[in-house]
Amino acid sequence: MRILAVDDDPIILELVAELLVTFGHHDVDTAGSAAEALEIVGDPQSDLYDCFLLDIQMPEMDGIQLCRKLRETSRYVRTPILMITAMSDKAYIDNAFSAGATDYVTKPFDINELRERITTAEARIAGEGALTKKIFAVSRGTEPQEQVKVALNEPVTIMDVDGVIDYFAFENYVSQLSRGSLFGSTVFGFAIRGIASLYRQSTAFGFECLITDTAEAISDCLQGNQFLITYAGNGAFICVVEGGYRPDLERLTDMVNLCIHDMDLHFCDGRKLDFRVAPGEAQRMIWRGNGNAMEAVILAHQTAEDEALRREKMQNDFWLTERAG
Amino acid sequence: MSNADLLPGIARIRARFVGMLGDRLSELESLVASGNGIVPEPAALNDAKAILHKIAGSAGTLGLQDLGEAARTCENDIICYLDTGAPGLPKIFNDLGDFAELAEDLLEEEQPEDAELAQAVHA
Repeated sequence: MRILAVDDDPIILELVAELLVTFGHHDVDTAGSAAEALEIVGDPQSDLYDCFLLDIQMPEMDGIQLCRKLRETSRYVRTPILMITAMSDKAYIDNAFSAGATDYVTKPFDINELRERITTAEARIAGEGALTKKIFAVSRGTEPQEQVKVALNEPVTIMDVDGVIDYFAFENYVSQLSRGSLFGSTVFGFAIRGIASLYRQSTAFGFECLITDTAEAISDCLQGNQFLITYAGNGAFICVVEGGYRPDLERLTDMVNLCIHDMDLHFCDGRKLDFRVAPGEAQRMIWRGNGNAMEAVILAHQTAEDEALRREKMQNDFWLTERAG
Repeated sequence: MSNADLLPGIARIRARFVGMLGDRLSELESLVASGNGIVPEPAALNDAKAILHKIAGSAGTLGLQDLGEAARTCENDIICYLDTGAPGLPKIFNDLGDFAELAEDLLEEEQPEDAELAQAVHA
């Protein structure tokens, strides 16, 4: 991989360069500041980087701001960005993920851990191919021509919605944090009811709008909390909220549904698009080990999908009962 | 297996780290002594925090865990002090003293000339 490491400490840069070369045939460039990094990546003669390692705490422009700047460029919208952070920087880590980071490593480095994170990033690059097809953005204009419709069960990255991050990054966030400090975090999911039918009726662009608007509604309803959300595919969203937040999921679901209703959405052919989400069961993540943390995420996802199916079925049964009566 | 066993070039980087440690220690000393000599300026404490942050970030990887942890303690003290006023300056000075002692021991062990210089600055 071609990697750019950015840190204001020359010792860290030297260590990172030495480590990465030891791990494999990586081509490593270094920058001592965010400004220098932007100069390097902005150079039209410069080849693309496959991965970035950014120190969070740097003077003037910090690593989080740099991460955000890189994500604003079309060249690096999906490139793995690993943040380098001291172990005590939990709040910074959350902000870094919100800004588009995909993973993080802690200083001082555990060499085996760094190797694992780099290998994960490498596997991600090797496995993804045409990444840009899987990005949904709020800042969409009119319906693009010949847009490829993503598979219903495929996780996609939603850009430009506060707190919404890539699914791969979300997995990294949960599995990494569970080693140290997921104290008080709660994970829960929402699933769009009747998603298969909505998917069938939607164009590629329409489905993108449906998912992005739902993400916006959930994000708006979680404002005031420290949270991260991801779209896991199949109309399901997973949220992790910090700080001992105990959600009243029924109330929150009503708020999200009201928010979606107020958006006054329509299919591309002009038909009214009216849909609702259903909540799964909230899972507390205190004292969960690494594997169990991901189990909690899976459970939150699963219960949301089950609840969406149950409520759809209940609604259908209700109409059948009404008709029979 | 330690990082030193896993990384062949670590001895060279560690030598560079130790080479920079004397200067960093002197810089810390003058930052903490800034202001009226009793209460350091907040800006100077911020700069001191940045130096300690760097040391804390790299020392552990280079096999200098105690030094790294002592630097991290001082960094956290300063962060708390600048945010809340606690812990008081005596605790910060005390922890900085412990850190400086570890740093001087390391310099004396690995770079006796730099250690003498650092001690002369402290004196």
